[in-house]
Amino acid sequence: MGQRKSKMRLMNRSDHPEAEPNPLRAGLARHRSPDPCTIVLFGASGDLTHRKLVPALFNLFRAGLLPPKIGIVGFARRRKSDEEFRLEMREAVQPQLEGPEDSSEAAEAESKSLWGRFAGSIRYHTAPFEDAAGYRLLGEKLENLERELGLPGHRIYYLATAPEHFSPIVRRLGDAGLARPAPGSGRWVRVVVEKPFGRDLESARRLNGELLDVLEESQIFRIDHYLGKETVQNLLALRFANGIFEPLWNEKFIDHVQITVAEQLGVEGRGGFYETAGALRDMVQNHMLQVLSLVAMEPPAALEADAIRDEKVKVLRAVRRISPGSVERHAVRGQYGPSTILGRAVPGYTGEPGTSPDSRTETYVALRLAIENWRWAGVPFFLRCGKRLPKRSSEVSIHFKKPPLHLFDQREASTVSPNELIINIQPDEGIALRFGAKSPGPDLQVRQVKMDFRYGSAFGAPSPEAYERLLLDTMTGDSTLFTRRDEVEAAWTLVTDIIEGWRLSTKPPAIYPAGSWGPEEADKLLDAGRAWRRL
Amino acid sequence: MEADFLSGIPVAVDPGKIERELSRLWKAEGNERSASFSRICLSNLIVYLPDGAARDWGGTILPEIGRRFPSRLIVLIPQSAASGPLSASLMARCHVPAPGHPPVCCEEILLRSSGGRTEDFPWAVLSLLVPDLPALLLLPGMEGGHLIGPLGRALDRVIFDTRPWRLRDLEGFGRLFDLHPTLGIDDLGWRETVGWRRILGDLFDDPGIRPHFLRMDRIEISHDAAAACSAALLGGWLTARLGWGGTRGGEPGLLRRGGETLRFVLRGTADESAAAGASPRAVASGSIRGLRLSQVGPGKETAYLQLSHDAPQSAIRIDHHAEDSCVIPRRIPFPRPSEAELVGSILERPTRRDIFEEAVRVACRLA
Repeated sequence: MGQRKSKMRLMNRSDHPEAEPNPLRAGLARHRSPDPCTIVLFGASGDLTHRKLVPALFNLFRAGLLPPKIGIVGFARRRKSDEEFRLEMREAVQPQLEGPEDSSEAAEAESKSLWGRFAGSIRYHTAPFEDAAGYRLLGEKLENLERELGLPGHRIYYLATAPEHFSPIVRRLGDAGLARPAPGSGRWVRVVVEKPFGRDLESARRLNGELLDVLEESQIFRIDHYLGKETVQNLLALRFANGIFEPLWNEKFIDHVQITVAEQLGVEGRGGFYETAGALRDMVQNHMLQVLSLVAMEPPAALEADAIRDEKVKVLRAVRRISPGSVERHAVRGQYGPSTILGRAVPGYTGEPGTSPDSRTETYVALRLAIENWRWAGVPFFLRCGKRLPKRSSEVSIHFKKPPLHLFDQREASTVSPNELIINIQPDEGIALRFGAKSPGPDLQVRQVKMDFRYGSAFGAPSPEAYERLLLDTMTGDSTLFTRRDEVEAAWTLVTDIIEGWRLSTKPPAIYPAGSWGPEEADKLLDAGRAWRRL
Repeated sequence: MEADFLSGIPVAVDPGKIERELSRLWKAEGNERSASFSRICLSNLIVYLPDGAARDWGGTILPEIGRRFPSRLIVLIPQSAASGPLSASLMARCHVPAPGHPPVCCEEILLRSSGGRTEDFPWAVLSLLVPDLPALLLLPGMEGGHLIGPLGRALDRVIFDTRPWRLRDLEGFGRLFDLHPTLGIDDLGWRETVGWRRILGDLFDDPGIRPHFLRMDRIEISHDAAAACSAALLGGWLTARLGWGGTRGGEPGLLRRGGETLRFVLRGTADESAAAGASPRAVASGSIRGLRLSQVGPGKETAYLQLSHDAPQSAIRIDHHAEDSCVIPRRIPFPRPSEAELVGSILERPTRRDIFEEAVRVACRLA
């Protein structure tokens, strides 16, 4: 009787298996293995598919991290066969197949075999994005592929297209019955939406509404590849896995925070696109505000997607809005002008193909933001990003307050400066701490020294590409590193105020020479005693 | 001589002046080289290579360790033939982490004793540990447990390799947890079961299969001769995690949960004693062949979940049959990690002691 009772209890417990913890996962790596699925890449002829998505999928495949069975379907308007698409994708992964060192015959054969196994899962589907019949045929193609490869019917639709296609594609998927799994089928459908997600608050809300007419929020994965970067994720580890930083992480000890995303390149032939975007929309609304929210958020209740995103959105909502009338006091926009870099003449932004000669599009933005909560009251956050700056460098720097008593000021005032914690996001991912140390010798001289940690050298393996991590998370359904509807809208609320202020302003963007650190006006955003970090 | 050091050629030094010589060699390299390099040290990794087989293994794996987990490598080799005091040599192990990046280097200190003596090793090692970094002792052979005591509290983790062990050796292994309650204890054989554990974890998440785990009353694991301990640890882990702990009447292979009894069968493909003491290279070819979870009704098996390792295809075939459901057999890739990957993973990610200890204790009872 006891035995029967025990079995009954266990059987009842298994009625809702997902609700029960899995005792077999304890002690294993946290990530869940992805389910077998089919990934449909909309915009398969585009740059993103070639440069990032397929190489990332191939790397995951090579590392054994993809699900045991997978289908990859390219969807684009250009007509081509499965084989032609495979050949294009093979070119995209050629550098990975060649490898840096080993060119032996055995290595070549291994690469060929590896590609052969990967390519077996690739198909292509031609149709205009607006064509309803094309989606019916896509549905049939997917069912055939799933039957052929023994796939269970889980699907990811990756929208790697121009933003104007996001909504029509999702609507057509819905019309064709592809956007939601059949009830009770146990299948899932996820949609990855690339940036830009809207171009202001109104368009972002509209796009959210249109997607949510067809999909559930839990199905939508709004991607921001910055969140896939190891160092950005490390912000959470640095803050919440260490005991020494968090007690100092507030207005009592921090003077200000700087977030920089500097690009060396110009618009590189994307002038037409950039004219409709600008640095504020292209970098600040997404990447930089995401980084800011990770730097400034409160500890989440758990390391779970919604717990983390709840805290991030609270930060964005706590950022003081910049009214259009005050935009010039809190924001600086610039545009690079012609210059000579390393002996080579470089055109200004308006000299780039696809741009208007009287364009007011900003290629540089500097902002002074205030977060109005107990932790950050009175601590300004300075953000700057720009194109055609002297070097490519992205970092967060935490500038601590000076010691309350300046013991050393009288002797070596010029060499004593406040401590800085620098989190390098790219290119050399790592963390550094600057502090004062006594110089060797009989005098009590204090010099700034740097304690340095570099991902590239401290860990044996290089950091994975951001897209690899994010694709894997999509497959496992982990949305921690994707932006939620309310986050996107909170970020656009802040940015739209600035856009509106600039629209009303008669002041054009300040011109800075290409290859410089941006317009001088940006320096004036910082109060006396503060300066942008020299990178 | 300095040029030899960074090129990976051992430089003989006075064992009493190792730190001083290391500083001098690194400084000389820094001055001589126009290109920069990074000297990295993530841990103190002490590797004991008592015999030829272990040394062969070390010859292959140590360069990979330098690449995957750059550390101060302290390699201990007892030599029976030589006589005289402890001898030492130094070399750098360098690699380029990514094209265009400066080389990343770590250092290897090789200590050789004479006359088979090992008593001098611990004291030499203690003086060479880089402060504030974890100290790990890697014992790839059957020997070396005697070093744990003298190294004592300086050690954070000991990594064994139970793959060449006999099943009965597991009992002594279990006692280590009592003797060293705060020491991290790890095992390459246990780490090799990660793939199996992950698949079982995934299957447990499958709503169609989970009930089967909870109803099963027989587990059978088949294995090559050289994987007996890994198979026992896998069985110990699975039964313990599912709450099947105590033995029934002390009879090996019978486990109890509440009023229910579970039978555990370990089926080797050859005499496991033939594998005992096998070289690590031979060990690396042994593996767990399959795992079957069955529900046995009156006189017959009513349901089963079978995982079969298809080594040539690097895959696991999964068959599931129950009275109320029958799933089409499927195969999932199961690439066997290289020995370097296995060692690299264990260095990077320590095993959770409580889970491993639980697996070892139950495995001792099963075996």
